[in-house]
Amino acid sequence: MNEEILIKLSKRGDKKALEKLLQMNYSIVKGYLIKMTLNEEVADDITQETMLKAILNIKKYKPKAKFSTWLITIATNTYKDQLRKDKRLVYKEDKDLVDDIDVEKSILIKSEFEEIKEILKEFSYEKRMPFILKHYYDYSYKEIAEIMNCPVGTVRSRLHYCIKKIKKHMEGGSDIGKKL
Amino acid sequence: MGKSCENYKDILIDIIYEEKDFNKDIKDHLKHCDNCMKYYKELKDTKNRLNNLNTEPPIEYRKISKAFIKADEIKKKKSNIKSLFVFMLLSTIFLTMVVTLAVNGFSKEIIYFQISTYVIFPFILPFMIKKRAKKEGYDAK
Ligand SMILES: [Zn+2]
Repeated sequence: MNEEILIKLSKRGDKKALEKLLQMNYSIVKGYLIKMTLNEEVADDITQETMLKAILNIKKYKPKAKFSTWLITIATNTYKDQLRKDKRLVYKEDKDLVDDIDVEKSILIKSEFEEIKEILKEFSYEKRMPFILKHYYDYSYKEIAEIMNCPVGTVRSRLHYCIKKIKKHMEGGSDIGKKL
Repeated sequence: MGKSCENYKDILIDIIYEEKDFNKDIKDHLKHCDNCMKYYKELKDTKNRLNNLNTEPPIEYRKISKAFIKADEIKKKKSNIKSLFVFMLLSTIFLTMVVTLAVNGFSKEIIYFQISTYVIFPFILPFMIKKRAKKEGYDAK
């Protein structure tokens, strides 16, 4: 069944349709939160909270935005709220995340994955967010600005900041590299 | 005055993320500026390497079902609070009416009304239960 029909049914109160819709978008939300929080356990909690909020507020969803975008907006706001409340979210080393990659992937890739994770940890969530939404989800600057509720110019400059730092780090000899 | 290499580098980031077009201006610059050309290649390389973080977590069906159960609990709690409030409001209004009528000498009518309510009530009860069940989604269909 296509998403449009499922959305219509969900808004009318069809639980089965909404459940299907959430299942279809689950990986996107969870994947986003894993990258955002860099912590599997926290990502798990926020994913759960996001699903709950989506169920409770489905009637408020306007199909103007894609359903996944709506979920990502909820996830983003939930994460922001939790950051304010809970200091635990500000970086705790998490080994589980590594298990998520294909076992077949080489050690080389795994270490590079760790390396990227380490770089991302250096950024504040406000800087990391535009980068993740842009790089992994291909949202436009405008869409990211709407999700984050900030000006387009800010999104652009934050993304540029991240890319430049990451690039510098990958080429070695960065200030981040030395700190680690 | 033309743009500086720093400007072009920023534009190149926008280009690799498809926010700007690869126009003639930038093409011309890359032709003449080895520095920016190198930067562009490195940017593309960085972008590719970053994809290693792109893992797709599995769908956790049971967790989604759990969210529905929790949502139901929250909704029920909310509706119970609402019902209680409505009940309190209606009973206050009713009591005020009864007292007002009694004070104004309508005691006999009140007793008649009460008797008829007791007689009618058992007949309307099944309808009320059915309606409630339907509202809460327990109706067999
Ligand atoms: Zn140049």
